[in-house]
Amino acid sequence: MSLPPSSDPGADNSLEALWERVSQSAQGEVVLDQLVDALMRATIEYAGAERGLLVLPRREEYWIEAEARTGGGIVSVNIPKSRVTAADLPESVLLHAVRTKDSVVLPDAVDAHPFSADEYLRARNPRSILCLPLLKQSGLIGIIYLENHLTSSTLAPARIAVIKLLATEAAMVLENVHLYSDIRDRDTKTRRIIDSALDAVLSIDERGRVTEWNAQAETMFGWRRDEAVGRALSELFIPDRYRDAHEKGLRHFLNTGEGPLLNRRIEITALHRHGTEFPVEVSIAPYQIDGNWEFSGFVRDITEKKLAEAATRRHREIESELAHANRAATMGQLSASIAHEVNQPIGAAVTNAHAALRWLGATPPNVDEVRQALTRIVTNGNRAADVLSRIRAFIKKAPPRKDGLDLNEAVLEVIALTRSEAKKNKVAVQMHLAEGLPAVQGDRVQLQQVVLNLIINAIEAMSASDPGSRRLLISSSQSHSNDVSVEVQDSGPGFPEASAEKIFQAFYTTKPAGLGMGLSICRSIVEAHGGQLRASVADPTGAIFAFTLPVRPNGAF
Amino acid sequence: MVSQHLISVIDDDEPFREAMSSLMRSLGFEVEAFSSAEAFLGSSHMGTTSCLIADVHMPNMTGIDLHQQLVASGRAIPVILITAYPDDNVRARALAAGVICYLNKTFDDAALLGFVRSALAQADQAIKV
Repeated sequence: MSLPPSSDPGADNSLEALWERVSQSAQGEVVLDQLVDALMRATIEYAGAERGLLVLPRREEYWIEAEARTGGGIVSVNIPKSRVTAADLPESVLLHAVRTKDSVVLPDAVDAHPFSADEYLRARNPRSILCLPLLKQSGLIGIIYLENHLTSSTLAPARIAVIKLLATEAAMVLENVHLYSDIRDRDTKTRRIIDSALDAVLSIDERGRVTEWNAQAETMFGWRRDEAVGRALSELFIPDRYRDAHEKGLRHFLNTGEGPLLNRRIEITALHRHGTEFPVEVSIAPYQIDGNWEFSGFVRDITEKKLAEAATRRHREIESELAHANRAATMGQLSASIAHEVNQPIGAAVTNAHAALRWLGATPPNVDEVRQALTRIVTNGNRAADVLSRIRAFIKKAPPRKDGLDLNEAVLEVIALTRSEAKKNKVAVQMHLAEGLPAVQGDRVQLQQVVLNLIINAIEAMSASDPGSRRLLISSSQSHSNDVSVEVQDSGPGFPEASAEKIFQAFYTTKPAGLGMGLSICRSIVEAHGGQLRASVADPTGAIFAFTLPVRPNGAF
Repeated sequence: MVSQHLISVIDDDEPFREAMSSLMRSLGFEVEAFSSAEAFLGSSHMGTTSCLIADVHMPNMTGIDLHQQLVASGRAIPVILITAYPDDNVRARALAAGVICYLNKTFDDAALLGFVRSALAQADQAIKV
């Protein structure tokens, strides 16, 4: 703030002291209210007014910043900081001053004037008024309103000019102070946001020194803000072995503008003050202030996420091991009927070979019969190989695959695999497979394992039933909700309605030699495919195991 | 070797049925093949069959059931049982019930021929009696 020019002809010497008071109170610690107080006192005394208002625009509205009154030779100033109303001043005068940016001077308001209709003037009837717009580069920064009830104004134009100058300077200070406090408010707000962030938020300058360090960063890395700010970031939480790389990366960016790790999430290892290392996810963004680069960083501790991921991975591994073990065990159970299935074509091949030898040994040799027998041997051999490869494919520990899968085809393969087991147990197998089922997305081997377990269970469940009544019904269908379901129904004794859920629990078994893992594994396989596996009691007797799988929209895989 | 003996082969597995039929023909026998015990029992060849070669594992009526039924009905057709899955208990029961033999499907053909001959001898004897 500068002193009014001494060359001003209207400058009053006594004003200098007055100005001093105003400007001094604006120095150092800015105490807004003191400044306003001084300004108002000075103005009202200098102008000889009874009442004075300082009005400032605030977000499209006008606020009374201060009000000064003289009474009994004492000037009192109060700082209402309230919105201007028609009870405070003549609004029409104020609006005119605002609009035209011209002063309104009514030396004797008793005379006729353009504002005589104003509500305030009619009610209060002041003798003289002065309304001064305070301008800065033609922008309105405030208004001084002065009034006198007793006498008409004796204010000379030079005095008005001085008041205007004084008030304008003061309004500028006020404006700056407001801006400053706005910035401070915003800064406080930003600070609070940053401190309440769940991530550690920090920034560094071009030399890698910390310029910002929030509360989370303090907790996460064990360094207080006042310890961290000004120190090299690499000393604070970057493990020794990565420090070079960090510094090189920073230099490389400053030299070339290339930062492959910038502006995206990266996972790195961070170091706590106490020496423990932990995984974090970091995103770093560069920005420029006054031509210098700074880098803001958001750091998230992902220790728990990593642990959870590892646990999930382990869980999946165990599940897959169990599923594989179960598959192998189920196939072991089937070994008798598999042996039968393989023995059948081998027996036929051996018999055909015997026949061929006999036809060859006849006189004359019957070449045609030999050829036919050999042709049959080829077919028999291939059939045996097919059975074996089907079993191998099933037992193989293949990683889960999500393919578009024809469920009927998968079910038919399992039925083929269990045909001799059913036959051995005198079980009549019926199929009702719905035609034109949409493909499901899933792992063939896993889903076949489910079907296999359900079929083997069903066959076993009927082992005590009358051989003539052992019926196994395998059906597939599509529900209205677009799910595909497969049902395996037996005619065995069923199970008590109450244990419909219990049978899916791990280690629950009704079989003397059972481990109780089969159905529990089946359920987790089906659920991993987004489906459901349920058991119900059949009418009149038996159990129904049904699983449903969601159908993905066309072309989803 | 020319013979007027009819040998009936019963197996629900077609490839084996074909193989066994061919082998029996190569040995000079007349052969009829059936896919089930019921089909054999309902056929006109039951009365002229001198020897039965029947699979043990068949749906509904097994080779053993068939033998028992023949014995029960007084038709003493000699039965050779063959199986893709030999089981000692079943073998003991079958032999005790009076079948000629109980053979694995991967048999020795000389042994089979021996059993067929003794079956035919048994059949011839039954006719004489």
